[in-house]
Amino acid sequence: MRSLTRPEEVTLTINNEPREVIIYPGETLLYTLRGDALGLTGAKPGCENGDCGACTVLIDNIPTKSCLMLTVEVEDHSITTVEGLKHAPIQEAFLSQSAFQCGYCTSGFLMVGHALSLQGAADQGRLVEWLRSNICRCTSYQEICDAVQSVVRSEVE
Amino acid sequence: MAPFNLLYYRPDTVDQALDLFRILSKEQHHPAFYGGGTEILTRVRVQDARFDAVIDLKAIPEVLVHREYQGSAEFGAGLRLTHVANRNLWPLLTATADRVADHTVRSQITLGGNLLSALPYREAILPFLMSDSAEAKVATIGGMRTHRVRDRYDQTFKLKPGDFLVSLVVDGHEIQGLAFKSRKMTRIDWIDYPLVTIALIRRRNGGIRAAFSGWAGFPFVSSRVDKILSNGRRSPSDRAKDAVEHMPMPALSDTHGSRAYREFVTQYTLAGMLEELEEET
Ligand SMILES: Cc1cc2nc3c(=O)[nH]c(=O)nc-3n(C[C@H](O)[C@H](O)[C@H](O)COP(=O)(O)OP(=O)(O)OC[C@H]3O[C@@H](n4cnc5c(N)ncnc54)[C@H](O)[C@@H]3O)c2cc1C
Ligand code: FES
Ligand code: FES
Repeated sequence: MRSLTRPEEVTLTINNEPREVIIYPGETLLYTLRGDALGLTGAKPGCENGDCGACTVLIDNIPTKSCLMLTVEVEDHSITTVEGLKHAPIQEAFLSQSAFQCGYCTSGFLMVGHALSLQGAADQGRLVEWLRSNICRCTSYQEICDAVQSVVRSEVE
Repeated sequence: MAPFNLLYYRPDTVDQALDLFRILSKEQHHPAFYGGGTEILTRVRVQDARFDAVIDLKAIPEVLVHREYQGSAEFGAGLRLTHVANRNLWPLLTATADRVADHTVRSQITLGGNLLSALPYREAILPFLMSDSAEAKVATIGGMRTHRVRDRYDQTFKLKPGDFLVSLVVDGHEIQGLAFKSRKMTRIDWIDYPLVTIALIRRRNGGIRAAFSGWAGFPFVSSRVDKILSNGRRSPSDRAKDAVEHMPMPALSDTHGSRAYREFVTQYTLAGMLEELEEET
């Protein structure tokens, strides 16, 4: 049985690298990632209520709202943050489609788009359903949708 | 946001989980069984819950079963809603569960967490409330108990403190070939809590059953409403009007919509669903 009742050093696999960090039992993954020890501030705190998606990261390649996940739950899983994408096709697509303005929501959308591209083919309905998990307050969703679609389509072709 | 004041436990067996709850309670803690954590964490954040310890059930094999066996389908309480939808063993459950929250959150929410949510919606429970055969396996200190879901449901699914939901079993005959419709109506956005969610099934004898979420402070079924909806000699719109007038409780008035608006949307949606269901069968 795993238990965590006081702060403890754990090893997390983040962007394919083992990272040691001290966590509290009631610490969300968003908090751990953005803390001084890891400094991965790409995942953004927005609502911290599961609504906006700005905090989205991938756990085993599945988009996950890191404000709704305790860090201790993902010890044995692979965590990917926007810092781990490193010029992934989805990032290039966001640039070429001008799919952002202020950029606050962008890392969350990138993570959903990247996860979708890893899944291979996705029809328009599925793509929209995944993207509905995130909210953007500045730009038009059309550019975001186009950017994701270009990557999903190019994966398929 | 600082870390929450929570102790974390992830037992490997049903007995460990039951013992933990008992021990923590004795030590004056306020433990909660933890599924996806989406509700527990959001409630703890706004200090709307007294929990100070969570017992994460997701490492217990019985809570993760997802299978067809001996003519039934079994759904572990720890299954994520996206897993339930992707495997699609029960299309009606897929249809209701796949409209809860958004896709990312559904890959975190568990079936058990949705059924035992403190919120009024619990849309994934609708198929189980309409089913004659649905049974819940409940872990108790006295051993595993099986209950008919309909017998244990009265506004909430009744569990004694310290007991937890392990899985739900539904007969394959009820799953296969039953015509159904499920529709979630929201105020503006596609992703939102429901103004009303309606699930309908047409049974082999032609009778209609309906379940509702969003209309009241809890999901419900009503034999009176079912009787009205099953009278195939009347038009769908007449039946829908009559059903709305004979709901077991008045519609809510809240930020999602006024009572009158809810009644209008329910009647209109119900009429359309009845028409489609009867055209198809
Ligand atoms: C952004 C967002 C949108 C949402 N939209 C919707 C919506 O459209 N429709 C809807 O119905 N809900 C919606 N919800 C609410 C959500 O469905 C509930 O918060 C969710 O069902 C809880 O599931 P969970 O697995 O995360 O449960 P948890 O947070 O882990 O637990 C919820 C409750 O269930 C108890 N529990 C969990 N598992 C068990 C078990 N096996 N046995 C006994 N008790 C158990 C816990 O102790 C707790 O009291 C939304 C939530 C969020 C964050
Ligand atoms: S910050 Fe996590 S969903 Fe908004
Ligand atoms: S680009 Fe500003 S919120 Fe999306």
